[in-house]
Amino acid sequence: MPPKRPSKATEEDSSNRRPREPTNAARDEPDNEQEERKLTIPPELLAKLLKNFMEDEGTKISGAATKTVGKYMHLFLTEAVYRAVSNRRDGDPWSRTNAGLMLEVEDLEKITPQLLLDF
Amino acid sequence: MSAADDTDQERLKSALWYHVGKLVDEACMNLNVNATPQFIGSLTELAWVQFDNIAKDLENFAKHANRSTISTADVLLLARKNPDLHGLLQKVVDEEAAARAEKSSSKSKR
Repeated sequence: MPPKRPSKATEEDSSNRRPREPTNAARDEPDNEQEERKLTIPPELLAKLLKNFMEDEGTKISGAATKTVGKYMHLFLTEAVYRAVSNRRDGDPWSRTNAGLMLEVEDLEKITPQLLLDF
Repeated sequence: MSAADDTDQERLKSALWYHVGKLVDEACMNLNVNATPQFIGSLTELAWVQFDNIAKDLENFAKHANRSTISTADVLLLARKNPDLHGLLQKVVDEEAAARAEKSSSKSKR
């Protein structure tokens, strides 16, 4: 992930993607909207994963399409978490009693069928 | 060859695992909950299978349109059964197109 930059001004105008593989030491907390929006699966990894599963070697993928797939998977994964919590909390993922709630594999099992139908 | 293939798969899956973990952390922070490592592992497996499905779908969509390059139209076709998802992806596609159109200016809208 991108290292923390000191000023917000540089944050604002640079919308460049960071292609490098993150080191597991980097652990950044999203402290504003801008940082949160950047947290996605890197396009390089997406392209590699898609290529990995394709049957025809010759098929290529455009940059914009890769980015859209990134959004798709981001929604897929986020939705899984929200649904899992929602399921535990009777349809209210933002319940006040969330603190300390641990998501287990069973929570994922319960929401998987509908999740896959919706994506 | 299959041994090298296997390690390749493992490495790809590890990379995916790492990023799934980050996204789950982000979502969990918003909701003030925690996820067990097993949850993240299972979700990675789920995402892995989903990638398998969509990669083959996308490839066939492109082929059907007599193209060898997957375009955003193919990705949008993935969401044809879910209008809400389609809308969200359409927004990304539009933003991307707009960004490309005015790539000369560095100013970008949020």
